[in-house]
Parts: sequence; C-alpha cells; structure tokens
Amino acid sequence: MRPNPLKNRLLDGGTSFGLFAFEFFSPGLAQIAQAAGAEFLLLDMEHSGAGIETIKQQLACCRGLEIAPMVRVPANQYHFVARVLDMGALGVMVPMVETAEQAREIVKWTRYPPLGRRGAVLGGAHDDYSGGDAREKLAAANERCLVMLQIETDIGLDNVEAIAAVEGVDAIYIGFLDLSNFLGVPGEVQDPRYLAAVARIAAAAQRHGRVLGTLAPGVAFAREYLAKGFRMICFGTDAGLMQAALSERIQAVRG
Amino acid sequence: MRPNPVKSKLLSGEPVFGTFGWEFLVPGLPQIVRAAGAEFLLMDMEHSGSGYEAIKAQCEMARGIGLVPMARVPANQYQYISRALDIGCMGIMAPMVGSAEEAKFIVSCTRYPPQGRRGAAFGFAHDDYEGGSVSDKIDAAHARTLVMALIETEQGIANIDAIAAVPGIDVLWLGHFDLTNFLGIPAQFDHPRYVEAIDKLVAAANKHGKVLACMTADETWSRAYWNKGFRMFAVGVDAMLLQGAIRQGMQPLRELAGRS
Repeated sequence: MRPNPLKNRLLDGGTSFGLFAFEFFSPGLAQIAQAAGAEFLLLDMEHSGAGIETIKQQLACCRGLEIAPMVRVPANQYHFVARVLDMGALGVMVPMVETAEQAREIVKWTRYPPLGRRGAVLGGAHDDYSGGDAREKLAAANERCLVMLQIETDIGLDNVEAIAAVEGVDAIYIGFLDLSNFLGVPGEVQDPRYLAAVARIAAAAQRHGRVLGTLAPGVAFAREYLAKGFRMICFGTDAGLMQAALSERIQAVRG
Repeated sequence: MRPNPVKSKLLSGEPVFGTFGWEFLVPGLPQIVRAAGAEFLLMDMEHSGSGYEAIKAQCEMARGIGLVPMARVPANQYQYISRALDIGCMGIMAPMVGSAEEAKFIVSCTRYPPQGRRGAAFGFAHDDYEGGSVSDKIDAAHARTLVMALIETEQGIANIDAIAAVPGIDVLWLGHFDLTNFLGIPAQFDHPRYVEAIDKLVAAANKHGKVLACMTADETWSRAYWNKGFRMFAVGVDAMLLQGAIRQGMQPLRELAGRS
C-alpha cells in the first residue's frame, strides 16, 4: 500500500499547506492544486453535498500524484469514516468531536482488529487493486491514516484536553466559524473569548504532541496561526479562492 | 510535460502490452489495469458511447501511475483528435484510415504549427496544469504523441504502402474483424484474401519502419501475430475480459451441477 508521507512529515514536526475543496470536483482538481503547491487536498462532505461516488473519483485522480487526499466526513459515524478510507483517503477529518469517548471510537474505526473495529476489504481502491500480503496491508493501512478531529463546539472545547490525549488522534483542527458560533461570537475571530478558546485548544494539542490545523480564510490569518504553532493550514474554499481571484481582477480593471 | 514511455519503447523496438477499455470507465479502471501489468489503456470512443468527459476523467486518473492513456477517436476529424490530446491522451487511434492523404491530415491534427494545424492551449490537463516554456511544451507534445492508424478497410490495404510511408504515423493497427467485413469474408481469418492483406500490411510496416499492432483475445492469436512481427498488443476488451473470467469460473460449477 502507498504510504502517507504527509503524515510522517507532520508527525516529525513539519508544516503543510493544502486546499479545502467544496465545489469544483472536476477530474483535474488534484493536479491543479498540486501544480499550485498544495501538499494535501481536503475534500468536504459535510457541507458540500458531495457523495461517496464523487469522493471516489477524486481519490482516484490523486493516485500517482504526490498530493495527499483526505476527506471530511459528514458525520461522526463508522460507515462514513470506513467508506472514505476504503475509497483511498489517506486521512479522515471528523467534524464536531465533543468527547474523548467519541475520539476513541473514531480512532477504532480507522484501525483493523485487534487495534480497532474497521471491516476489511483488500484488492480495492485503497490498496490500488493490487495483491500482496494481507497482514502487511492491514498494518500499512493502520499506519498511514491521518486522524483529524475538529474542535468546533463549546462542548468539544470543554473536553479538548481529554480528546487530545486519545491515542491515535493525529491532528486537532479548529473549525473557526463554528467555534465562534458556538461561543456566541459568530465570525469574531479576534474576540477575546475566541482567542482564549484557540489558546486552550493549542495548549491541549501541543501537550499531547498533536498537529494543529485550521482552515485559513486569508494570508494574514494563516500567518497568525502559524505563529500560534498551527502546522497544517488549508486554504479555501476552492470556490472562495476562485471568487477572490476573479473579483480582485475585475475590481482592479474597473477601478 | 510528462513523456510517453510506450512511444519511446515502441520506437526503440521494444514490445508494449496494454488493454482496451470500452465499458468500465470507472474511477478505478486505470489502476486496476495497471496493477494487472498493462502499460497503456486505450479507450474507445468509436463504438462505446464514451464522450470526452469520461475520457478526461480516465486520463486524469492515469496520471502518475505509469499507465499511458490513449483514445480511439470516433472519426478522423480535427476536433476529435485535438480534443483527445488536449485532455491528456498521449496517443490517438484513427479508425478506418484509407489513404495517405487521410493519414497526413491525421498527423497534421496532432502537430502544432508549422508542422501541423493543431490549436494550442497550455496550462490545462495535457500539460498537468503547469507553467513552463511554450516551445519546450510543443516539442514535448510532438515527441510524446503516438499516432496509430487503424487499417481495417479494403482501401486501407490497397493504399497501405503509401499510408505507411507518411511521416508521423507511428503505428499501423490491424482492425482484424472490420477488415474481414470489408473484404466480404466476415470473421474468416484463414481466408486467403485476409492472409494476403495481412502480408501486405506486414510488408509495408517493415519497409517503412512502422510498429504493427492489434487487439488480442487469446494466446493462439497472440502467438500468431507476435510471429508476424506485431509488437504492440491490446488485451481485451474490458467487458469481454470480465465475461470470459465469469464463464471460466462457472465452468467447473456447471459441470458439478450436470449442466453443459
């Protein structure tokens, strides 16, 4: 099975930039993002309406490229997590994680027995339809999956230390819009309550050696969060980036 | 631009084996055939109903996995040939090539000016959405594009020497079934007129240094055409391979059940 070099780089302390895609699931998307320098492609299923067939096609388009494809599942359920891994996602992001129990369950869904509870199929998309030793494949699959949990509710924030402590959790992702919403300061990412929450999440993640990630709506935001120790930054959304570039050019010539 | 290892192997005399995709243009297909050892995936647009969107997705999924995607276009028209190349096909197969003029036109559709008449778009699928020098890309595109002429009509055989002589035609691909049809001897592959036509095809290819290619469905056929000097084979088509495997798997069960 193909390894996930991105996971190793991140766990070794590296920083990585990627694209969060919600809208333009065309066959060229992965190569377009890679040619622009993206190291990972995060495909959203929570808010985009993308279904498993679209995700499967996108994952197939990433095969053979260096860009690491990962999927945000629509809900914290086994069948979503396991299916996107079966389609070839190298990592999974789960939204609105609120307790350590949930985090432990999620990690189990990404691991084959006896480490977890993931059902197995081999010779499919995730192992590139190839043969080989089953034990090695199961171990490689357990090894390569990057588990990213989103802390974006008040309850998740209350339990962030316990969630970050769960073994197998690789990255803690902030959902900045939802987190500000659940804290009662919608979109106010400079509000002291929001900043205090980010500091608490960052401290919990760093204490347990977890990678910190966030979606960055802009360059200033990305710089600010890099300075806070965030190492997995995705830009996006794809539609937003296109709009911004288009609007900038139209404004520039319209004056 | 990525090179085309199938073309470089063929031009240096090495044999190349791949498969013909007609029916199952699903996201996994390129990797499925690659994992089985295929070096190229030739996708049919002439008889399969596949459009450019399906072919484009396959080309994108073949990127980086060591599989060369190519298409058989539905007709020998500029817009079919150039579009197949623009979406990332590294070679095209032109059906029912009947004359040297037609062969020259086909080659001209695959070459940018001044060598040909291909319109240019860069920073898209065929050059991996990347930047870089346009003239380098043009040279790379010319170097990698494999042009395969299907010889499958009585005119194609009648004009085979002139067709084979056209510079830029890399491969003479035998369309064996259609050829028997157009010779009025459907599926009679032992018929003297078919055998004579194959001899003419082989002689023309050898004289002009062109690669001989065909589809194969079984070992007997593979051996026979290998011995004639054919060096590019497509095993398949996909749907028939699946059918064959199902049939073969069922045979012992049918015998156990006492069914013929």
